[in-house]
Amino acid sequence: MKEILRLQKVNKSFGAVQAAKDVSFSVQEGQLISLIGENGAGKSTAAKILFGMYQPDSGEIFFQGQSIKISSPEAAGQLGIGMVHQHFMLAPAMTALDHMILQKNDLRSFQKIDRALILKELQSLSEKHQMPVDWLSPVEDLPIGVHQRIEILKALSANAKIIILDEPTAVLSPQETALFLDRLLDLKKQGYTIILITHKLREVLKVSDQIVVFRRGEVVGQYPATEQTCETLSELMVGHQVPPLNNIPQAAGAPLLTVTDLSFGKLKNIHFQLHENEIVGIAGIEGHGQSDLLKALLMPQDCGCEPQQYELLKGQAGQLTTSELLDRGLGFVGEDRHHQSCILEMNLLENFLFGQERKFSKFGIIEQSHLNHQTLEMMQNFDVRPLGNPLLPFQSLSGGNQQKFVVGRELSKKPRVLIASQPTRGVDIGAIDLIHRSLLNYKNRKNAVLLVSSELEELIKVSDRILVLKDGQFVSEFQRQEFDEQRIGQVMLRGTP
Amino acid sequence: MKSVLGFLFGIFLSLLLVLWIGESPLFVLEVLYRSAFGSKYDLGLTLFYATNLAFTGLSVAVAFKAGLFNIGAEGQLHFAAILTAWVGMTFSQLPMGLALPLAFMASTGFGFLYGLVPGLLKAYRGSHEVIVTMMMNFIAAGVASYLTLNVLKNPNSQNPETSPVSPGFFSPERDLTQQFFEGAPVNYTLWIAIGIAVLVYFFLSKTTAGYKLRAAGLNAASARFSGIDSRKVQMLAMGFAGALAGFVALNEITGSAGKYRIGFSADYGFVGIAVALMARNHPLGILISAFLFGALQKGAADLDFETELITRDFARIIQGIVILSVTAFYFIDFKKLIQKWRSK
Amino acid sequence: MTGLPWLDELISLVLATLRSATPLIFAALGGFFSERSGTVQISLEGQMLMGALTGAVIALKTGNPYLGFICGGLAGVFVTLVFAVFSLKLRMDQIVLGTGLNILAMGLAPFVTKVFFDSTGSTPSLPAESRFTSEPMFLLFALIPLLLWWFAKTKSSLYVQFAGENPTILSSLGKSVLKIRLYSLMTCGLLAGFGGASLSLFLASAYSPNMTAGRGFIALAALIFGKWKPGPTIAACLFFAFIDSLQVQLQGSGLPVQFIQILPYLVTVVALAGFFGRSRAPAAIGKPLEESK
Repeated sequence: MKEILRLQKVNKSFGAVQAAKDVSFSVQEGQLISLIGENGAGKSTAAKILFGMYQPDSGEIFFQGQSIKISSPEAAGQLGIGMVHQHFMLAPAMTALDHMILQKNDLRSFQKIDRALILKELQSLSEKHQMPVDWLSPVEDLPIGVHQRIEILKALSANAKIIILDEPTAVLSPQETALFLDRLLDLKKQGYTIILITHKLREVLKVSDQIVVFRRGEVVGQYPATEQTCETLSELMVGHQVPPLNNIPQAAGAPLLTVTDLSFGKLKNIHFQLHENEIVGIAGIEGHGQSDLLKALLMPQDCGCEPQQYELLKGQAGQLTTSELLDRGLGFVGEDRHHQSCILEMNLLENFLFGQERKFSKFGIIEQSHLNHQTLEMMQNFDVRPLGNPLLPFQSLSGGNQQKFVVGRELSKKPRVLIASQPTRGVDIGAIDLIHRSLLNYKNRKNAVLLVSSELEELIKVSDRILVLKDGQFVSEFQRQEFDEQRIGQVMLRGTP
Repeated sequence: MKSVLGFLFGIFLSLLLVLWIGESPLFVLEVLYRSAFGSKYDLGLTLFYATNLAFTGLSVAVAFKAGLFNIGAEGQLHFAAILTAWVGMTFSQLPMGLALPLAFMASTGFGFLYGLVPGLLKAYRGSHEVIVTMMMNFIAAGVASYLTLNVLKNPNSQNPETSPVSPGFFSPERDLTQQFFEGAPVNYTLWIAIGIAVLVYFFLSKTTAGYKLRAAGLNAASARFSGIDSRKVQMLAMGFAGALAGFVALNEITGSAGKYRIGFSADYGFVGIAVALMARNHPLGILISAFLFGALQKGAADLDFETELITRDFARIIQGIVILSVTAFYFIDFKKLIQKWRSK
Repeated sequence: MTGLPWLDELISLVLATLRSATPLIFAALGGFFSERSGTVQISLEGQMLMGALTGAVIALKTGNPYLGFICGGLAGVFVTLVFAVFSLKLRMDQIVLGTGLNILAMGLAPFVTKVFFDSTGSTPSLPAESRFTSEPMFLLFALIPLLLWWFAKTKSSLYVQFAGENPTILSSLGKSVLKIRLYSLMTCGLLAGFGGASLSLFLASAYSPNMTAGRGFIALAALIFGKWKPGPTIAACLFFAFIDSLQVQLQGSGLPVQFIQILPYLVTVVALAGFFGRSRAPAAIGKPLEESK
């Protein structure tokens, strides 16, 4: 097999941050190579350089042995490089057909488009790769799995021979992931070269020929997949061993939160309870009612909730406002941090006030020194950096630190019930560990946590029981001793084990 | 500060325009200076304009902080003014001790109501507040015009104005400020403007209510998850903004004119936008920027007399240029520019 | 005309509506190009004003209404070019910018009339051969089907739409979003300028101060009302124009004149209050472009 792409000593900085340092690796034609590493380790940056979205500050790129410059995504396209991005490049209001027409280079700007003809072409492309798509509905009406198919078909129809995929399975269930990986192997058999960016080690080992490990912007090494295991890869990614979590289950105590017969959005007559000393994990493919559940728990008034349908801490809560719920002892870490848990433009102190301004209010005036003190203390406890200047705008913190701040803030409020959705998304391994330990510590003090996560591994590691959400209903419950990733995955997909 | 640079650059550009049409920029500058500061009366008139501009500037700024664009200050102040005039005529028996507080409640109250409407529509129906407030400017003008000419008209005058309010509401001879500035229209409301600016500053930065307003303005979605009722906050903020604009009515009806005259407003509502922008919506900065724009206003009127080609509208041109230049300066990253220039 | 008085009245009402709608539709279509491509357009009022002024001035100086009309369009383009520099290059807040330009236009207009005609705000009246009796309306009739075809059947219309919905897609394909938005803005200026020029050269016979009287904002309301789609937007314009012509009919009926005058504005507010359903703006509107790396 011959080498088709190579990066050699590529450097890229964004301001003061060096995202890629002396990055070198080599891709053979027809191979599947995975780039792995923690968030911010540099793998995404390297891929975007290959796709022409970023220009390296120094270093060379070789295509089929020739040193070249990839100056733009268009240039990358001409070399046959296509990319499926982590955050899909789709405009929700437009149709899939519109997206495909947009990238047809053989059409002139003011030429009449024959939509019917193009539609036929696309349908046969879909069939060829076994990826059916509804081409005529607005993208926002389609499920996420279809979004991904559209993205892949976009790359294929642009005659890509090398396909880069950035975190493609982040939104898929275990079974959908297995199907997806099969497709990848199919494409490889057809001669495509695939570059996979991911942090999911088990998938990597299943399909890759070569693995490139990134750490803090540098390449630790390039290894044949056959020589590696999850543990060795994990250690390479972090640089040291990560001690295992000690989750000693405690007996569940009194009920703290009860939901009875609630229907809203996708949810249909759901019941569940949270007890003292327990973490309940909610597993499920994205889009099966998780956001509706969170909304109902936080803003019951907007969801048509009757008072008795929702009980929080020995009192009916169905008609309470968000503010009243928070006061009563509810904490919330939202999955969309920027639109649910913080205000980027405000400073750290003001973000600490978030959701608890009454605690720092004396006759309506903010108690500055008390606020200062509490914020600093929380940041120290949760290793939020940089320490020292509480007036920094929140957006100047890195993603991982922002998340630690939010989790820390919510826990410092000492709520009885914490609702956390994707609490470790975008956070690196060290911080994930800290957050998991904090959650365990917290629940062992007679509190409860409702954990919604798309990472089944995380749920299994931390929860006491797992409820599987499918089509708006809890179809199954697993106790700690029954935890099995395959079985839970099956239920997520099919509804029955 | 960048804003001051922007203001000066705006003046500079305007002076270039003056040069281009054949007038002398130096003469224009001289007239402007003399006009604003030449005598106690001149200064008084400048401060009078500044008072109104401070009110409307605060109105626009508070709305901005809540994430809303209030271009309806003009309509709000007219609405408040015509109805305050009506109050002043109807409750003619009240002594000053009761009349003034009533006028205060009327002008801020009516202003609040008129601001609440676009606030409500925006918060609960998603209607674009820029268009709604703009439309309401026209509506207020129509309503005020109707009431002035058909219901409250002054029988003793040819001017399009209402009858004067009773002496309980308007007694300039007892206004110390006005006496001090030799009869210029500036009055006790000048001090109210300064006081209100300080209060607004304190409210926005030091109180939890102000925090909630700013949070709803920066990120209404997040704010909702923190327990803040963003919609209610935004609606009230618009009402509050209307009330601030309503203070102009207090000035006009109880401080300077004693009646509602059609066209009394030198576009205070619109210039208020420039005032707020230049001060980056900082309440204390607004006092300074209101003063500068007030001086400009006064100067432009005199320019009309003293030059051939420059009319009162020239002030508008300067305002427009200044808005553009102040905001442009804010967005230009000077550090980057200097770096680029150095590396060439 | 037809001998039936009610039919005559109806026909004249329809014609009045179409006349009145002409500047509105021009402006709304201009706003359409701008907003669909991602630029919030508050300065339609200023563009129309400049278009009206320039149209009248040129028509007076040259005696040729067509020249005036075209120059009116160019004046609009000039305004949007200034807008483009500030919003695309300097990434200034678009609403603030739009308002600033409106204020500038409102100040510049009387300045210009003073300089050229030594008048306090209006231009002198245009003689009949220097203005239009119906041409702009016919231009619109021809333009509208062309526009609808362009919107449905060309790739360039997709460029504009994606620029407003998700510009990152375009930049990842190597297309310059900046150029697309620039051209859209220029088209906006041209159309809004035509709208203004049709005010002074067609609806009236001179330029008078602030003759746009909020039409730029009503056009924007029509766009919102029409959910940013060309067909419904035009229908909304016709509706507002109808109210406007109704206003003229009512002026003699005994209702207070001010109430009749504020009718169009009142209707706009009521319409925006969402009695006719909410609408959603193009997703990426108003957000400045990220710098390329």
